[in-house]
Amino acid sequence: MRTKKAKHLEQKETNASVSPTTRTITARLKQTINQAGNISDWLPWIYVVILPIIMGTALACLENETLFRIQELNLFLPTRLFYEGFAAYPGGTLLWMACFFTQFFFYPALGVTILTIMWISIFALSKKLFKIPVMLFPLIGLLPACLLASIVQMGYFIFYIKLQGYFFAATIGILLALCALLVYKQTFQNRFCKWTWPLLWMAAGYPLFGAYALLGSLYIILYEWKNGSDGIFGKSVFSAVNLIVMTGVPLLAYQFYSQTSINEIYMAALPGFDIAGKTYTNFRIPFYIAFALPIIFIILHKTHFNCKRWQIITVHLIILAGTALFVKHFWYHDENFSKELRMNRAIEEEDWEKVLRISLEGSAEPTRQIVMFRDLALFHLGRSGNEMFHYRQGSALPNAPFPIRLVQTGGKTLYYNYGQANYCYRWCMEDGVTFGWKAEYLKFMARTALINGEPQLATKYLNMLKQTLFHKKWAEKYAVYAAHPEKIDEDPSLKFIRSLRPKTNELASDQSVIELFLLRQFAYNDSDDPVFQEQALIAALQMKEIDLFWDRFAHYAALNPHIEMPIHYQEAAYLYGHLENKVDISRMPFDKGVKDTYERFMAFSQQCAGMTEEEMAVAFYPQFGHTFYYFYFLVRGLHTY
Amino acid sequence: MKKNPLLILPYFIIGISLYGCKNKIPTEYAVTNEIANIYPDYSNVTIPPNIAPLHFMVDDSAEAYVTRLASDSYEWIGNGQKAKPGIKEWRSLIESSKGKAVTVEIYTRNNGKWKRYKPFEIYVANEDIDPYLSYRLISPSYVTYKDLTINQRNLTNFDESVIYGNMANTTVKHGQCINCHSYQNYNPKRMQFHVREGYACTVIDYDGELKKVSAKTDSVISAGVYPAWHPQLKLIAYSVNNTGQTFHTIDPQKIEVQDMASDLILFDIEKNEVTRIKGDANEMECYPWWSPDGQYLYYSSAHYTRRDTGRIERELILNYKDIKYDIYRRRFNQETMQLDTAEMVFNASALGKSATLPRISPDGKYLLFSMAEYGVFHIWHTDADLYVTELSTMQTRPLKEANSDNVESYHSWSSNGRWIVFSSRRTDGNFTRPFIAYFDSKGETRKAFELPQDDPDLHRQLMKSYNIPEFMKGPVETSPQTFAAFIRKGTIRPAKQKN
Repeated sequence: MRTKKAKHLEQKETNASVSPTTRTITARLKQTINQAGNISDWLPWIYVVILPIIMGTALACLENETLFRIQELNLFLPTRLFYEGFAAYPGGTLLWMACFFTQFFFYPALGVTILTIMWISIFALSKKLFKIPVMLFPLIGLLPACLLASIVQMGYFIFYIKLQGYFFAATIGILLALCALLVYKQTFQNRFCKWTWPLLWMAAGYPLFGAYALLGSLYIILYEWKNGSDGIFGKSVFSAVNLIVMTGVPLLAYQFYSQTSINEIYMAALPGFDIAGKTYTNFRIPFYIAFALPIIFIILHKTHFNCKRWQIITVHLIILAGTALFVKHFWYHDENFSKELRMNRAIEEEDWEKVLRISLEGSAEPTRQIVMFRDLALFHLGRSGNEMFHYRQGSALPNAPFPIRLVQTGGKTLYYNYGQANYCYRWCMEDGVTFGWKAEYLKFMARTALINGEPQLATKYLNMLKQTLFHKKWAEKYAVYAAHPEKIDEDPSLKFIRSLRPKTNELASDQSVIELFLLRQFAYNDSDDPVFQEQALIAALQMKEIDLFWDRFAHYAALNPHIEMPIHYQEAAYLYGHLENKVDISRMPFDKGVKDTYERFMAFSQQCAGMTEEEMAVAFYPQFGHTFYYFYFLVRGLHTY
Repeated sequence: MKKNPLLILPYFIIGISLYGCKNKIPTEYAVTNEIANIYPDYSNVTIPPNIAPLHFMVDDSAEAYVTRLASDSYEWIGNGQKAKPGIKEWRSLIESSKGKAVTVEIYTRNNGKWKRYKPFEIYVANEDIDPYLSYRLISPSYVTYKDLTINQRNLTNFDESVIYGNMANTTVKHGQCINCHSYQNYNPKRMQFHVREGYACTVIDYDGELKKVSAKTDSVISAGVYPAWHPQLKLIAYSVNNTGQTFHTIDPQKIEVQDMASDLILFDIEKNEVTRIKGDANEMECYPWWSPDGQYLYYSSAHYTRRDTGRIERELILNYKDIKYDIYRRRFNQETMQLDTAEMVFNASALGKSATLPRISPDGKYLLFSMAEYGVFHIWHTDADLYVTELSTMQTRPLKEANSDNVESYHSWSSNGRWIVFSSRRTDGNFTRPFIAYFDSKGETRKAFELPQDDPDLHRQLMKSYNIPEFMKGPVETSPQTFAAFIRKGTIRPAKQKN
């Protein structure tokens, strides 16, 4: 199609007498405008390819760590039993496929590439299906943008989402729904196909794809209204029949699904976003928009706007800017969340220095998880006694609109690394039941079984992991210990963790409050194992329990006669010695710095006598924030969760 | 018309091909005295003649496998790591082996050389097993639950179906736990199960009539928990329990389930009436079970006297190893519906042990129970084993042939008394699997076999445990959807208190 401007130039060229140079320039301009005149041909394809690539690139670059964790919180096994677990619910096959693709986030760029290809397919399908006026064409980009938003909005919900394969499910579902419409579009001129395809699609599609089959059928009905050649009566009959089928097939299918609630048959394979009995409906907004967009496209189908180029460009820019703002609005960003994910991965890789480096990044008050991960790293590096108060304390609440429990986010990592194998195993089992089995849980369960001396149980989980695409190597490493439990202590990490196991069995309950449980478990127990014993001393220190501290301190000194007493332990002894005078510290060889700091701290306290505790905390921090004295007197009210 | 001799060629080629495909026993092989490492371990087990095929897999790695199952008059040969005879072939094999044995030969090839393992036998008893087994499938979690079902399995093949699944009535606000399915005299038309949390009730299906009841009254501790149908009357004995859970810090048993208080009640289905069974305040009674003639109610009971005045829960948790259950019985008067005083049947505490889940054999001769060092919930106790008491002599012995070094607990008799099914964690220490053992007329048991599955590796992959295996004479025919709708819409009938 040539634009008015091209025609005008053509006319001008015909009528006017011009020089050859001018003619050449004019010819080139004409050619360019002629080509540009086919904007509706080439521009959409640029969007089809470029927009998804931009989205995918943004996702891969900004959420690399989240995507990796998402695949750790996913599981796909190529077994019949695994598939049957999904197929027991309508829409299970779709989720099974989604789990299959989610595992590719092990290499985030690879997973995102697959996702991007699907988004390009959605674009291409939309372009083919709907003749959207060129002016509004970028609206098609809103569909993958919604799918992107549904992924990046999650934040801490990645630990709580119950729908398996969530991160690919909507993309695959919409792709399939559009495919159903495409088949209809290609065949609806044939009367037989027109009537049978929607029926076939619902009958076969609902068990496989759940609510996305309903969505496909809805698009077909609307498409028929817009484009069908029948009259109102014919269209009404077609719609009525298909609405009955859409209503009836799930009801009929319900008779074959024993584990599906009748209230949820029309929402099969859609995410619920519920936590602790409450549904967080805001997370559904990208889905609502994504599902509605094809309806809008159908309405806009073959609609024409006579617009000038600048109008088209302006509208495009507005839509693109709106899309970008829409995605930005939903894009969850939180410094602590990001740090927690990275620290967790560094712990898994046993890169303890990296854990410390990450903890120092940024300016936000740390969450307890960050503090505990950092303390764990210091302990593994043997630097707790000298450095544990050199880092910022804090208890920022996780940035989420729903209640977060540490046990679901980083608790298993903490329990495992602090030798609480039973409690780590327990929470993997509890959360596996609640949120579905995940590679991360199976890894913990396998290792805790090894630590507990249950090689057969470890083998069960390792054999499952061996069947995955990306965790096989990990499983093979630990399978050696399952086959030869006597070799477990050859692994320094397992040996270290085994040292931290409780020394006597007792019945207890953590009440889902991990930090307090760990502190008590260590502080109220003691051992001649130097690794366990030091952690017991640290716990007593952190709990500010003076009597417990003296017991653990004395034991530590006896177990480590040739080690220079770490600074913080000296500080605690020096402080408690002065506070209570129960223990004679006059012969203890305290470092001069420990004593000097104490004297300065007390002198400064006199200066600040009129201040509130909050004011003192601020005033003391630059000089004394790295000491136990500061921790003891001025770090209070930390909230754990 | 003369036939073209070439027409025979396709048949010849097909015949040769089929011959080539036929599984063959290697002709040259080395002989080893080892028994092949197979899963499930079906070596030298005794099976009922109507059981589903015993599919198994060879765990030893090899390039090729051949398995031969042979009776006097029939043989089946299969290749592949998994030996999976079809149902018809299996029937042919077993029918001809009643009272005798099927011999199993396994050959493996490594580096091109065949090896034959030491053959073993599968003994076939003369007595059938009940055709159906029901159980609850549940992930062995501790506090949370989701997606659990009460299933029924046709033991003569691999068909399995759901009786009721909790997700059918699970909502965002309310989960739903289901448990304690139970039948009157193996009759699938007379069953009950409990629903906890969302739509909490006890569902009773009596000859097609569904009832939704609650045995909780103001004067009993809880709604009915562990049920026992009277063999003739429309009467169910329940224990009512105040149960708590705590977690071991290093013991691989991981969890301790304890009763903080428990009693027994009788629930009259017809009158919707609860009768408390009077007992000592220091006794914690649990796990009622009727003798087959309905004359006695057996149960476990722990005597515990308070040692301090603090919270009972804390005291019991601290002293959890001191809670030991003995087995008692009380005579039941069907005229007055009254129970006599308690009579000790097995004094486990005198042995420093705790005995639970008394089950009387259908002929009334044997008492089968589970015994461990302490406690009430032996399904989590690794030392729990099955024991049997011959009631005529009161002699008790462990079922050595059925027990393992891991948990053996919840157990049931088949209706003919020749088979017992029980839960065991012997496979991996964590997931319970149903095992079935032959119990002969002299009271001797044979090596137990694991419930056969179409895919022999299923139980090693399955992330669920089997709870409360109970035999049935047929399938429950009420559909899961019917149960679901009834639970959702049915009106609950609060029970009346008789005494």
